[in-house]
Amino acid sequence: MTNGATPPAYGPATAALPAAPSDTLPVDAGLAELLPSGLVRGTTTVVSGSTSLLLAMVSQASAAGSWVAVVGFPSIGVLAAHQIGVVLDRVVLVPEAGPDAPQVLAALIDGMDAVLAGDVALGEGDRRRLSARARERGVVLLSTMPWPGAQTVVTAQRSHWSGVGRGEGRLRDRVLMVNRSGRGSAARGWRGQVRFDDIGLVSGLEGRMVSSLDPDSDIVGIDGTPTGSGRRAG
Amino acid sequence: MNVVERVVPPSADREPATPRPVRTAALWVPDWPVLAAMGAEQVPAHLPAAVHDTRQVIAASAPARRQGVRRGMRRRTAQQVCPELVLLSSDPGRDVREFESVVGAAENVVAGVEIARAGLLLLPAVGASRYHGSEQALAERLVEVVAEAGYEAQVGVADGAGAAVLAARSGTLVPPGHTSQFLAPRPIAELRHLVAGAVASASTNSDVESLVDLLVRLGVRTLGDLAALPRSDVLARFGAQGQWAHRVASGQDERPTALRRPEPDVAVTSELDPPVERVEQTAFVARRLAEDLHAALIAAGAGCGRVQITAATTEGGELERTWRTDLALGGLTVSRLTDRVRWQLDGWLTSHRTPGRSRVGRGEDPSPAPLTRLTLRAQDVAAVGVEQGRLWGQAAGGDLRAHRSVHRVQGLLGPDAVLTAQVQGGRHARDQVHVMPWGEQRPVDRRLDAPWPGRLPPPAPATVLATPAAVQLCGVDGRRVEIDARLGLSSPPAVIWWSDGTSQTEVTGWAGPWPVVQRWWGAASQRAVYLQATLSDGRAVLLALCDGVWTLDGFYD
Repeated sequence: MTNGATPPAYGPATAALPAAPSDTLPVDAGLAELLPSGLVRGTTTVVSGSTSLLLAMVSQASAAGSWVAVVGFPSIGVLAAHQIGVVLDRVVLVPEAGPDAPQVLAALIDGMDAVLAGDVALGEGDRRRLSARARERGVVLLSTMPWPGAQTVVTAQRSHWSGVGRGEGRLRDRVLMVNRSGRGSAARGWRGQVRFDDIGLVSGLEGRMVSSLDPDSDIVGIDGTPTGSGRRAG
Repeated sequence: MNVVERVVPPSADREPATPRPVRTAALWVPDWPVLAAMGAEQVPAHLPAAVHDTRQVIAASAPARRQGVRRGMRRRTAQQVCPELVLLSSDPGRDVREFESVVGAAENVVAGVEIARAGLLLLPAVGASRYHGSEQALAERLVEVVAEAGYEAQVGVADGAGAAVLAARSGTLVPPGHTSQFLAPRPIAELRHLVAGAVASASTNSDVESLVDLLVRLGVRTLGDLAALPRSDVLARFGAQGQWAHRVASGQDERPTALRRPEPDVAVTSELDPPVERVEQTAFVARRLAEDLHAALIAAGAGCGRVQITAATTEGGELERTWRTDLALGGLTVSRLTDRVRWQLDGWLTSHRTPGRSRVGRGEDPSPAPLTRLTLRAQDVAAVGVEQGRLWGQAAGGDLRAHRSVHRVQGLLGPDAVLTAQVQGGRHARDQVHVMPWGEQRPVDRRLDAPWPGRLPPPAPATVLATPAAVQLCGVDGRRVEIDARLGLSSPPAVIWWSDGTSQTEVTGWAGPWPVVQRWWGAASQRAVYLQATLSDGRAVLLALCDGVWTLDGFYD
């Protein structure tokens, strides 16, 4: 289980002034390969297909003192968030944003360090404006819905759970197949597996860069043999 | 600024620092918690009794002390030392309530008493002693009236409240100007008597204890020794605590460590005539009351941790809501307080479905009745400046920004649309989460530190459906899977039919079943059996069987 604030992969660890705001939010070291430059403040990331992965991405930042707003997730598992390491004292839940969603998100972007947007009523123009506002304020915007202009798009596809038999055991470890694409440093796609342990914390990942992201090519099944088509999870 | 002081100074008595502090008299009823408890429980006075707060003895009566019972002893030790000991439970509220009789009696002699803690009163001695002739006469009169109330008291008079409290312990009247001589031979440990007892936080008590310890170990054994040290050095070495101790030791304790009299909470009331029934009128009322409360708090030099909003309706009912304010952020500004009050009034006056907003109402709303009286009461009042720690630094700035933005969203969507969550005790993912509107102060229903046998194993599902969806779980025999009382399944699960009735997914593995039977003895009993299942498309789900119906509780996504 990875713990503690390890510095991002780039650059030496400098003894930062205690009050100096950094330009990235700390991310679990286990996900470092998935997000090579960390969660850069001001960027928009799409994480679709897995709520646990989304929560795991912000858990380290939350534990380090960041405020997280969760908008448009009426069914979020708060206990799961707590177990993954999100500090509930600094979490604001807005299950239904209603028709005023753009204003609500804008108000939250002004004050939070990370905003998770789920099922919210936004148009294209709204999304662009909110991304711009997030960039201005240095806030990390994470969405589960497609978001044009997102710097990174992480898609979780299939999971494989272990620990459950035919009437015995319980859900333990999980392996989640993940694709990553995007712009800038994430332009070279990445595909791999993220492993979660039995409390829901990330315990490791492995994968490789792919030059072009073709959803059906090069998908490797759990047992290592390439399969023809990958069925999306959820 | 002294950290130890929990003082809200009496409004008119803010005198500038004079070379000699004002003559103060202190009235001390020894062993007050025990006396109050004995009075309340009708324990005869000759029996040894002690008050116990589940961990240790906090006060013992004189007969008990003679037998060897001391403060800080464990229950067993105390009973060993004194087998006939009557143990009474600690109840600070009772201590304060019973003390009212003593306070009332003292007020007949001197107007304007100040309660330092239950059992200790401070009163300005100058005017009263002139009225009664001399300080001796005043002291005698006070002891007399308290004896009529049924309690034995001791009175001490000295310059400054700290010295007066110490004088009361020996019943001395220290002549003016001789305070430092009086204090000099006293041991340092007497500082602990100056902490405002059960009303102060545990950390303050232990802070003073550790300061006393440290001073003793460094060789500063009497108050005179401490007073002989230069004050700036004491401040540098021991901090604000040390400075306070030095002030007391040199007889220059200008401000007593006292808590404002608990009875008058800072509260403002407004009679609404004609009764307010429209949302538009609430803004004005709210603003006025918020300003009044804010002014009252400023005059008292205090901030509050909670604000309680109470309204009386024309139908005779009373509505009440308590909001948490953030003391550490410097308390509530008038505008934020106004907003809170206005939303609360809006909430009470209107139904949830207002035109133009598609917010979903929660539960039934009683038909709104006009409000006739509005009261704002500040609770957890504490002197501003006590919580200085978080006024500086990045973290505090971030919190302030976050609170403000949440506040704005509550303005847009209403207070019930923005929630905060806490983990509490329980057995499954729904029970273990306590969700409430942001800013509201509600105690958790179930304690987290109690063992909860039968809790569902981790991980918790990352998606917990707000309303569980009905599904059908069929076994290899094609029929619905039943679970008997011995938790045996009728057949191994094979297929799950989703709520739309047409789609199905194969079940590749399952675990459980875990029964959760809660409150079987009562009307609100919950009996359910949980099953974790993995599906052929890789997902894992949590299913619940309740009253013969399978429901989908959550996804482990």
